[in-house]
Parts: sequence; structure tokens; C-alpha cells
Amino acid sequence: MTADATIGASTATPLLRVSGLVKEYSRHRGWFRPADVVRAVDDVSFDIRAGETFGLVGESGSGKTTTGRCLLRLVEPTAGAVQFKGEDVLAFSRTRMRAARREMQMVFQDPYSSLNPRMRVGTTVEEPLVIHKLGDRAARQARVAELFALVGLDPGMMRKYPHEFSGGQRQRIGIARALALHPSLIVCDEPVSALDVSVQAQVVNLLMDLQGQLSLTYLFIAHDLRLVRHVCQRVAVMYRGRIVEMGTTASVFASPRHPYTEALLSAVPTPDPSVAPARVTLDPASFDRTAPLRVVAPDHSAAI
Amino acid sequence: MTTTFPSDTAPPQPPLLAVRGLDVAFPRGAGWLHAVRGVSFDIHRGETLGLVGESGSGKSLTAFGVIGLVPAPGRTTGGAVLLDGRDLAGLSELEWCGVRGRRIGFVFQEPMTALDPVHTVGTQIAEVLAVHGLARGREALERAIALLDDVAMPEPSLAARAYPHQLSGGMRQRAMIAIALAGDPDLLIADEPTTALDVTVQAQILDLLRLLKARRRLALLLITHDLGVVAQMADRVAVMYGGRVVETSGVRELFATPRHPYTRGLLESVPGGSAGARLVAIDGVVPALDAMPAGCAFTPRCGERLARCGDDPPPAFDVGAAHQSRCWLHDAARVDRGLRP
Repeated sequence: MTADATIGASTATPLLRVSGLVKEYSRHRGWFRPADVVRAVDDVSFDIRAGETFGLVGESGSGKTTTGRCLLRLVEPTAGAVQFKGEDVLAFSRTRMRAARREMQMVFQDPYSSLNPRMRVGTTVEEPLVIHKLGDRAARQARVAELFALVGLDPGMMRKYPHEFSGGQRQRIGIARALALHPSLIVCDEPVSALDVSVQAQVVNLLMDLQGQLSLTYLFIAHDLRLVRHVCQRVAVMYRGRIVEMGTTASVFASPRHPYTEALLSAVPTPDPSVAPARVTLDPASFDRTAPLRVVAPDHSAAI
Repeated sequence: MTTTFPSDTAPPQPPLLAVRGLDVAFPRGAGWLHAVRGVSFDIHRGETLGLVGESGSGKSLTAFGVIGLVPAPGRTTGGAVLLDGRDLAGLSELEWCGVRGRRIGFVFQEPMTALDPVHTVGTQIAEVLAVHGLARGREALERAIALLDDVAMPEPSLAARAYPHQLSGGMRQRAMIAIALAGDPDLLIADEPTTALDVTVQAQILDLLRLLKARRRLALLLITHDLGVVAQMADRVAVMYGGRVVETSGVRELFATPRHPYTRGLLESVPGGSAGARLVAIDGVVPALDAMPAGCAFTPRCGERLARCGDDPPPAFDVGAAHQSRCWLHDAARVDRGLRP
């Protein structure tokens, strides 16, 4: 499947092209001192092909979430370009951007804090339809019921409040809301990391089923490498704001080339007690942090 | 009574900690909601027991039950906790002080909330030493620095003067472990000690726990939901579901031949098979405390349930050497074998 995707996509234009993305935050240290500038995202470029799941992995503070938010302009990038279906998203006006978000949606990490506790879940799912003035009340209600069924929830639960649902069910509600406007790209920011393992599997399966049914493209932001290996066709590894390695998941996991990727992959505890941990520790002096990505294998590059 | 082969003739060492039928419950109306039901396990010196379960399985409450700190209005409603054979149930508050922190150290999941934000790390360790009468004043601070060195804290003397917010997540967890070790305990209870940490930092903390365990012959009760962590750390595993231990076994046997349907489902749901394949999910959710079936709590989600499972709680069946599973399937299997000539 990975090989087909690679061959098919090399000729087509990517659904999303990110080039030279930079997000700087300034940290004010006092009235008369110059502000420090922190580069949360530092010259990040990647393509996402239509229909694939592209993984963005890294540890906390690596800039993966900020990158995801910059794509939807939930955070305004400092520099760089984001092209969605060939159009420059960063040049869009506010109104144009709002319209563009119909096609680019987000599923958030924490299903406990991302749903409005005072709003019935049906209203939460309906809200995007109201904002974008789609259909009359009856049509919207029918669409919400359809969305509930699509994500495996009983439409009879539309009138309940978030606290009446389990974590897995709440994440299904978040997914239903993201799907309301028929998006083509969904940024999934740690969609299952707040859930228990047995429930994680249910939600991951749902995301994979929906991808097939609705031809969705996912940017899958996660720190769980076992999960990323399972669901993503291609993956980019971020370290301190930069992509240090990128390629097909199979190639990156089987033969990581960047020292950080090696250290990261070796740190994941194997769920098999007969395998002794073989850890590679990261020596930050062992690589050049400013090295550009170069091709190391077909559809696999590393900043070495 | 001199023996040439002590290992052959000496009686088996009694466990350091023996938990017997522990029950923890919360008042609800006129009755009690049981969050931990009849939990039993042993931990020997130098051994790591992994207590595995999902949220709501009762694993953290079991740990609180062991150290007599069940959050109110909950309370321990039954069972016994024996430390070196001595029942901790009747201890006075003062006697508890000689156990908590001294015999049993505790490491919490989120070091930022467990550490005191207004005191330096060194002061917090020194306080533990002073409370237990192990050292005070200048000597206590010096021992605090030595403890920080023990937990491989970079620049221990600087770290001793730092406030928790000045440390990274991994360093905070090292500080937490240093505090837990200050009383030189025999047993360390670590409740999800690496869950809030990045995977590379997690690996460092797990290495540290492994090292400390070997160096100090510590017994470790490691509470986690991460099967990878259990596989790498534990000698024995107890799997909890719905407040009960449903399976206990040596770690290798558990991963090689899990017997309880819940354990099997849990192991299968770990991603790691072929990329893009559907994950094996356990349908449904953990039942709420007030909706627990009278029998096995896993019944509503179990693909192999029998007619009796929902009403009749299964006992722990021996399914291997030091391997027990609470499931009626094992009984059925025995009956089958017995009936066939």
C-alpha cells in the first residue's frame, strides 16, 4: 500500500504543500531588555498527498502541534508558505480563510476540554453548519443525525451533554464535528493519547474506516511511535522545531538515519519481555542541528 | 540446624508486602460503591510487580489503600495489608509516619503537583530526612545532595537549590524519586511515574528505577497502563479490571500466554502489527462503578462470556505455575477434561 501511494503520488500535485514554515515567539524579559526570540517552528517543509496519512512525530516542545495549527492559521506563522490544493492559504483574507476551513478541519487531543460542557453535543456538531449557513434547521438536524451514525454514536444521544459520555465517545463527537463540513484534510492532534488502550484502538479504527469511506487526508500528530507506525504511510520526525527526518514510515522505522530518530525509536519500550531494551542515547553534539534534509533512500531524507 | 544448601532447605522468604483481599469503597446513598474488590498480591524484596489496568480499574486506589491514604470519603472496607508480616490496618497516625516515607516510598505521576512549589528541592528532601530523624540541618542538606546524585540528577548541588519550576519534567521526576528514597524505604510505589514524560526521558527514568532497584534491593510496585513499560520493567504482573485483579503471572508467561479474555484483548489492542491493518479493539467501555455486573466486570465486553459470568464472580483459577486467572472459562475447561474419559 505504501509503495502504491508513493508511485501514484509522485506525479500528482500534493494536497498540501508546506514550505519554509517558521513560527517565532518573542519572550519579553523586561522593559528595557530586547525580547528573546524562540523559533518554535524552524524552516519546516513537507508535502501531504491526497488520501494519505502523514505522521508528524516528536516530543513535547518539538513544534509539531504549532506546525499543525499554523496550517489552519489557528496560529499565524511568521514566515513560509502553505499551499492547499495549489492556493496559498497564508495570503487568504479572514473571510476567505473561514471558507477554506470548511475543507481543513481539526480533531483535538483532549476530548474532555475541547467540547463545550454547557452545550448539547448535537448542537456542538451542528455549530459548523450554522456558522457556514448550510441548510435550514431540519436539514442540519438530519445531517447531525447522519454524522452521529457515521462515527458510531446513537443519534438519540444528540440532546445529551458532554459529561454524559466516555472519553472515547467524546472523541467520536469531536470527529463528527470535524466531518460536518465535508473536509478533505483533517489535522488530528494527538487524537487518542488521552484514551485508554482498548478504547484507543476503537477510535483509530474509526479514523481509518472514515478515511476509506470519505477519501480523507490526515495529518496525524502524535508522540506514540507504535501508533504512528501503524496508521501513517509517511512520517516526519521533528526535533526542536525542525524536521530531522522524513520518509515512508516503513523506511524511517526500519532504518532511521538521523541520530535523534534512532534515539527516539530505541526509547519506545517494546511490549515483549523477551526483548531486552537496546537503547541508543542521543548525543546532541553528534549532529549538526542546521544540516538540511538530504535524500538517503527512495522517499526518505534525513538532516545529516 | 546448619545447612549446607540453604537454598534447598530454607523456608521460602515471606513476602515484603502481602495484600490480602483489599477492599476500597466510596459511600453512595445508604450503601457503598466498591472501587477495589478483594485485591490480593505479594511483593518480595528486590521484585517488581507491575499493576496494569485502564483508568477506573482501581489500580491507583489499590496503592492508596496499601499506604492507608484512600481519599475521603472513600475508605478501606476490608482485607489486610501486611508489611513483613505485620498488619498495617490498626496503625495509629504516628505509627504510620514510621511506614510512609520510611518503609514505603511513593512516586506520583505528575511531579509538578506532587512537589512543593515554594521550597527548594534540597529543602524538601532534607525535610523528609528530618521527619524520620535520619539527619538534620547541614548534614541533611548534604545527604539531600548525595541523594540527588544517586538519582543521576545533573549538577546535584545546583539542583538542590532549585525550585521545582526551574527543573525540566525528567529532572522533577528524579527529584521526586530522591524524596521517595530519602527514608531508605524497602518498597517503592510508583504510580504512572513516566506517563507525563517524553519517551526518551521515560527511558532514562525507567533505567534509573532499574538501577536503584538493583543497588538498594528495592521492591517496586509499578502502576502503569503502558504494556511496553510493564514488559520491560516487571518481574510479575497483576492485571486489574473493574476493581479486581483478573490475572496474575510472571511477566514472560503473561505476555506469551495470557489467559484472561481481558488481558488477551489488552495485549492485542497494542498497535504494532502490520501497518494499516485494523487494530484489535475491545468493544464497549469500562462499566461505571454503579453499573458493575455482580459477576465478572468484563462480562458485557467479553466475546467468550458464558451464561453464569454476569451474576457469578469467578474465583482465581490456577492456570500455570504461579499464574492465576479469574475466568469461568478455565472452570469450563476443567469440567470438559473431567467429563471426557
